[in-house]
Amino acid sequence: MLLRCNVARQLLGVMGAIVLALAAVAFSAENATAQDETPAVKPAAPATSPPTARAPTGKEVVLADIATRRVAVTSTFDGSQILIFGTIDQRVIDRPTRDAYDIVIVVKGVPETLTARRKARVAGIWLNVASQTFKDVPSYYAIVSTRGLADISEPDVLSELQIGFKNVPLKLADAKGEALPKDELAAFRAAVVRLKRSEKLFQSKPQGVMFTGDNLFRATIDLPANVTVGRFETTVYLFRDGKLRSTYQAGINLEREGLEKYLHGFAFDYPFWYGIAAVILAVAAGLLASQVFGRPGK
Amino acid sequence: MTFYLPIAEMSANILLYLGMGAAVGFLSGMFGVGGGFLMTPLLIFSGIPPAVAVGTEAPQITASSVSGALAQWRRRNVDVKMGTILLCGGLVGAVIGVFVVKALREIGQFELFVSLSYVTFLGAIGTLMMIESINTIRKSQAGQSTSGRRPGQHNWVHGLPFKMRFNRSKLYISAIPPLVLGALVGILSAIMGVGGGFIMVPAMIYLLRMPTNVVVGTSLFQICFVTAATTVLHASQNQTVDIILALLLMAGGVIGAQFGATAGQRLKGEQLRFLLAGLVLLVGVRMAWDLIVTPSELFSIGAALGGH
Repeated sequence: MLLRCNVARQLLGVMGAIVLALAAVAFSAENATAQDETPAVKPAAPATSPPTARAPTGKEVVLADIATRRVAVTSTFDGSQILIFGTIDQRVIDRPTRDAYDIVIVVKGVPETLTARRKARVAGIWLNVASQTFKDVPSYYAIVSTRGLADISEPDVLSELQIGFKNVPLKLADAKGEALPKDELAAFRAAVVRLKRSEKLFQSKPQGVMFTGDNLFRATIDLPANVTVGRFETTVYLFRDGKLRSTYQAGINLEREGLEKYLHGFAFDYPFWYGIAAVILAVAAGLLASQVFGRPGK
Repeated sequence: MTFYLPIAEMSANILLYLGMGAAVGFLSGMFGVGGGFLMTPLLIFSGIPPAVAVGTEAPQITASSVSGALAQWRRRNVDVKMGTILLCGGLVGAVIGVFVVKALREIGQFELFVSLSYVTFLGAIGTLMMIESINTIRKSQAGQSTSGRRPGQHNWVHGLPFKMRFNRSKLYISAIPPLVLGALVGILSAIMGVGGGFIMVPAMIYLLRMPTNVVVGTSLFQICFVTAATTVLHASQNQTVDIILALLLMAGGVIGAQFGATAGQRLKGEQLRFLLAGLVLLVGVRMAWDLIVTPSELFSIGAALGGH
């Protein structure tokens, strides 16, 4: 009896040491990266593209930037707010009033493949009876503008630029979808937009772009906590009289950091060892509970 | 206070999950069950994706059954030979179960299958337990003796081949029933995110005719190994084990179990079984409700898994 207690204690000690060592490595990784985050003017993550401007006629040009180009997903991540700001650089002689211009900002997340399913009642219970898979669906789609989209430009212009929930690319992933009746396909597409909006992953803020003076504008966008980690493409469109005058593109990187990065990487790159680690942790926790409380739970 | 769960990819309220772990731990300490059948539905109701709920429950049950099994071991209440046969069947069952989970997720019917399994098994076992405990309460109130099953009695199970001697349980029966029972429990454990004790314990008492004092310890022995295997399988095949969530639940559960065990000692056996039956039926009814009532949203979206 005494011998068993000693063996259990030694086992407990070894497992406790392993757990503490893992925790120390993970937390030191988190702290080290957190210190690097101070925003000195250092080159950002290699994936960030340099800002580009396109001025089709050499007249007015929109320039923009994003307050944080890199958002870290740490253990305290609970969503984030992105501030986009910019200016209209007018080189024409005639300077129309600010009201002549409209800004539309579109932020698109990582494209993903997703499946929409529809339930129906079969033998008294509700179950999934039909599905359609879409590819290249942006995991996040936010659209902020100075006015309602319908007031800014014509539907075919917006559709060509893929601006607006109606125009979000939802490509069919397989040939099966082409055989579906049009209204069913439309119902699936509408469901994707509706469900994404309810999760706050598709957002729309008409009148979300605010001007200070004639040229300086800003907009804030919410990234919810369950957004897919990766690169977000931000495009700023400048419209005048319903026509596109200029665009500007920039990127935001949402990256895992510290403990989150370590655990996610561990779970997806070494899944078997992650499972073993989970078991070791569970057994250690069980042994710890048994020793500390000393009385049988069952 | 929130923590971002690395596998569930959502931010979780730490106190909520500690509290859930403690509440279920309390009930599991009181009734002497694993608590998986209660925790997995609770996790699903609180917004954790069902596959992650099932995968994350496996290590949590390992932790709590290790604690319980050790306690029973110290009292020599474990039939290791029987337990080993059960766990061999259990490991095969766990492998089958994890692949079934993978296949169901790919065709988008996993959630339905889990709900149906819960409704079926909890409904059946809850009803049986309820009837048995009511009968026992009535008998004890009428002053009759409430004797348990006598281990020596034979039934059809004892006629099967491959007989082995189980000294601790004083049995000489075929190895087939424990293998099949273990496999069945292993499959359910992987699919439903439970330990399986609520099926194994009655089956051991009524089907295998094991003496009651060995049943709980042997069942816990099997559950430890099978849920450990399920954890590794879910992690490597489906990547659905969230270690942070599991830690939160374990921490709460261990504390809750101690209070539960103390509270449970104040009640009589048949009263506890009656309450447990009630709880089991409640969870089963809740899951059935979700299946039958017209949902507010007919559509759902999820990441596409497997091949296109």
